[in-house]
Amino acid sequence: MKNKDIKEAKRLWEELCKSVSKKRNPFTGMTKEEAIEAIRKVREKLWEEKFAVRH
Amino acid sequence: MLFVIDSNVYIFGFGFVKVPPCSNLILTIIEKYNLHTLRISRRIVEEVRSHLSPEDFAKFIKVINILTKIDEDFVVPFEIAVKYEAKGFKPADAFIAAYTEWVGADALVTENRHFLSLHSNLPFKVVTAEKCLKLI
Repeated sequence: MKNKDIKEAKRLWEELCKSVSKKRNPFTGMTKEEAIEAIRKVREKLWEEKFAVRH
Repeated sequence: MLFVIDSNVYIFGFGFVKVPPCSNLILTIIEKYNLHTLRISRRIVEEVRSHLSPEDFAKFIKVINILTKIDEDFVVPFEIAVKYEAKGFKPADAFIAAYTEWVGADALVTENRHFLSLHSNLPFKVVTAEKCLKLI
């Protein structure tokens, strides 16, 4: 990775975080542990959907 | 070091939930690109996608494409995931563990307490973003 790529990656990451901060937050009112559990549920749902497609 | 970063670390890193080490870790890996390698599976990318708008997801993919390449899920041998299911991992978590082993990562970075509680006798470390920052 070149130096200009590092700068670009940092710029894009910061831009992404800024953009996300302006959007609806799906974890509003949740504790960190509750958010982790919500993310796990999405993981399991996506996994089941993938499994259902393949079988 | 070679790392696999779990979806929850990316998602917290965006700032949805304030967990400063998660965002700091991504920025540190970008800055120390010559010392560390990041790997990511399609599964983790898809999980991140489900929490972002299409516009933000496109930005995420641009960042990932600078840092690494996305590995397709089918490259991970089924047998490795089965081994992790036998250890008590749920199928989707077992896949992430299998992927981490398959790429030969030094560590899986996750905030998922289920991973953190089942991490003994694995061929890689399981660490939180905060602990990973101390390692690197």
